[in-house]
Amino acid sequence: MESTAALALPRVRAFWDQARRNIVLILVTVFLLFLILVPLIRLLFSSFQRGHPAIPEGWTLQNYVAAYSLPIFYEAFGTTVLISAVGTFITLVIAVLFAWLIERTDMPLRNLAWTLILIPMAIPGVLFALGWALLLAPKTGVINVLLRGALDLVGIHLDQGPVSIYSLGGLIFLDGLRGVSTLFLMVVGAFRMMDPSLEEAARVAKANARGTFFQVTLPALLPAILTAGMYSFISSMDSFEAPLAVGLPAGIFVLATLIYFTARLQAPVDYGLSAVYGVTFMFILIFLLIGYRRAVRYSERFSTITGKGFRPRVISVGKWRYAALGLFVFYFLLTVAAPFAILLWASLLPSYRSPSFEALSFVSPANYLEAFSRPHLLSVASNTLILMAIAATATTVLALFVSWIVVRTKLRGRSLLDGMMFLPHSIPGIVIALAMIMAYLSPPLRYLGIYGSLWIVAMGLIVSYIAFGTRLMNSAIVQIQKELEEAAYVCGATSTRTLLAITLPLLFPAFAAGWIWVAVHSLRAFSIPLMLASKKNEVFSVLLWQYWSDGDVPMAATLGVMLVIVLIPLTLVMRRFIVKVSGQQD
Amino acid sequence: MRIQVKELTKTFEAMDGIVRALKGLSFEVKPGEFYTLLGPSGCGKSTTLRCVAGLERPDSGEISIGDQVVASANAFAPPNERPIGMVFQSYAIWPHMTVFKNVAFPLKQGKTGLSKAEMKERVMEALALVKMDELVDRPAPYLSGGQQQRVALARALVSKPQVLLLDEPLSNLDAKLREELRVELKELVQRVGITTLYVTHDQVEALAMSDRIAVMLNGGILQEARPKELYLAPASKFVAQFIGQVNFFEGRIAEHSDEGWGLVETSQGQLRCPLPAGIPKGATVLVTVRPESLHTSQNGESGDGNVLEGRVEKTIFLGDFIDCQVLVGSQLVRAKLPPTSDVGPGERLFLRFSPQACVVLPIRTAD
Repeated sequence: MESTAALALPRVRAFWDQARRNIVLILVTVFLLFLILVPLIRLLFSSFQRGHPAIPEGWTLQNYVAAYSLPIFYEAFGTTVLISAVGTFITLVIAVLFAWLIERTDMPLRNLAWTLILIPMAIPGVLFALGWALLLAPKTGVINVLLRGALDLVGIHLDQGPVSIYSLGGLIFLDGLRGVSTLFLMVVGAFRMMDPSLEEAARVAKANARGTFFQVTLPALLPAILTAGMYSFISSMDSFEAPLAVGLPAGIFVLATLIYFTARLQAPVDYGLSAVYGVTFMFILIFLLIGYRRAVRYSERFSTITGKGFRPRVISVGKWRYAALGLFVFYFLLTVAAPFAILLWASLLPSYRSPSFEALSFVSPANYLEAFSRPHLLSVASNTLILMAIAATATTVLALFVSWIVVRTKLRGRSLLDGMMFLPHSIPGIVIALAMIMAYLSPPLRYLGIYGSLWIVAMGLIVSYIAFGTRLMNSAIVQIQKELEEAAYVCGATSTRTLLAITLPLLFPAFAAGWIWVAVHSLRAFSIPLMLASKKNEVFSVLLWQYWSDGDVPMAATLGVMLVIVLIPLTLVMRRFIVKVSGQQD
Repeated sequence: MRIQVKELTKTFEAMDGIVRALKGLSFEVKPGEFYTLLGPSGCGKSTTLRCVAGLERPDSGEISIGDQVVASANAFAPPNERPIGMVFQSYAIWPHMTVFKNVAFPLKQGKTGLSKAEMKERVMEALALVKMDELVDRPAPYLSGGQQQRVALARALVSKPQVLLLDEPLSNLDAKLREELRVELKELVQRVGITTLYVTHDQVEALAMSDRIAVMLNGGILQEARPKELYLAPASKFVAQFIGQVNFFEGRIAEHSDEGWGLVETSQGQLRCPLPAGIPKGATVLVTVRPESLHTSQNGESGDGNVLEGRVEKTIFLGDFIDCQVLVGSQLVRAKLPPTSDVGPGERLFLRFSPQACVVLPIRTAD
């Protein structure tokens, strides 16, 4: 072993050498760090400042004192945890059940079910909530109308209800169904890749099918299931759309909607208070995410998943297979068919009324024709497409640069950089947007003039998707043999030329997959565009919500149906791409 | 063109501290020479090659190719500014290009001033050299291992570099193909007349192809010699062991004549050997004998050779020879016997070998 001092000189030289050769990459990285860190730091400042962020009136702890003494903060926090916990439990049960039924039993139509179970991912959360609001509104909700009709027959007369989506139960119901697709994808891999010899060994050791499942299969998969559950809990904590659509009207706040309310709805808005909420929310989630990462690492240690694509033995469940299929159909009805059908119905009427034979005579495609004739809507549609293109292109290109630094260079601080790119993953969209507001509303960044423009929305989306982008690119670059690049250097190519002629073409599949992923997510993005919305930068999902808030249900439904029709094929294509590129889950 | 490497050092940061990969390595490859760096994995041979290629920057030392200093304390030319061609262990054939595009790539870098037609001519010429001209339009993923290797070679030679660097180019091929390509590669390099630096861990490959071999261990060169000399006169125990199989007998010099002959007293008996100059009587030495120098003998008469007596422990029939393990005293001695010899386990026999077949190594430097 040498003393480090003797080696310091060549290492310093090597560092500058590397730095000079990668100057473009470094500039890009600095830009990204700026994009992510500056707003977050500004948010932290704002939480300690009095007054408007643009004209602060001095430092104070008052915001914290105020926030932490308000009962609504604790209520919102409690509600968030309650909804997330119960919702996650429901999600987990459904997802594990379907993963087992679809992957391991002889349930009929399993291949079709595999595709159908992904479709809820194509329906934006806000639309899912609106669909259910139409189905389960206390007075006009279709299901309530039917239920009341049925109760009438047995002599019980009600004016409204019996169930209301505008309630804590409603929120839990929506949250429980919402995340099934994602969670299904997370656990189904474990079911598929579990080494079948583990089960076979149990059978040889004289366990029956039932005993094998409960004593071997389930415990072996438990780490995977529990980590998936933690992931689901964290995304439920983030959830904004259902709490906005059906929580706020009932006066039920979660942390995300509390922030939105404080920063955008209440009059006058309170930036200091919302900053405190944002900072608190961010730290809670960072904390949770650290726990999640630990858990994942721990569960990988005694993992039974070998990575080989086994085709495990299919278990015959006898006549229960039809019950299983029935259950799946029911699930599909709840998550896709019913909400979509009611939105479609609403979109075909001049003004909303419950489905009935009389109402059928009003049905016409007039709303669709009108939608396309509104100039405002056309500009919103073009906003949406521009935003999608900017966010998708910028995120993938930036991710490529950063990942290349992280994976391929020996620059100091590259692992810190990698961690920094992962940071936004643990920050709720609503907090990212809040931080953007704080940063670009106050000097010096306000002079950029991007507050209220499409650019600030794009930047918010880039920040919130960069974590996924860098994960995807990291694994794609690792898969490219280093010698392929070195061969180009030796053939006389410069590093720029090598990147263009060798690395980029080889990364194209990952690039395309990342692009589509970000594009799909930008199309259905809601919390960031809404939080940053102005007259100039409205996108499709925000306009849809605007119509809904103004009571124009048919037009909101029309936009929603169009959005879903675009999103379903895109989502399925995206899945295929992502799986092909990395075998990674969504 | 000449390659000169002087006092090369390189350290890497590893998990558990600093690894000194190269410790003041020096050697020189003469113009047109086929020079091989041979050693076990981790000896620093690939690092040396990568330093010559410019893929690693040495911590100190100097590398020059021809008259150009490509790496020194205050200069470092990146790979694209060095007159080199290189074949990688994995071949690194770009999968998104055809054979033609792969080979044409080096011609498109910088200002070569070649017209399209000239470029095509050069590519076809290089491909003809490796007998791949018929597969010129084939996409790279449809090539077999051997074909990839040929394309990689064509790509390395197409720009007519001054120096060819080969990083274990045969190690990914199956045994039969490896043997074929070994001969072909050697002939090709000879025909082109290019200075070649070759890296391998396979001693047979090194012996068969090289003009000179440097045996490396722990970041330094143990011995540098022509193949025959390396095999017949290894300078250390490691070299003797690494190049082929060998039997060692430890002993003390009992007699020392002026003509360079002597007797070594070992626990297997007295052995008559040539003695290098400068070893005093009474010094402890290692006598090394290759298994193929041992022959069976009916009687124990030594004549002017050496004889060992022992019992056959094990015989393994390997086709072209019999690997025969004989217990002499407490030591297992290996002999390569002709496949026709008829010996079996338990049998007692004499092993005879001539004094010229022995190499005596001083024990102090032997390890």
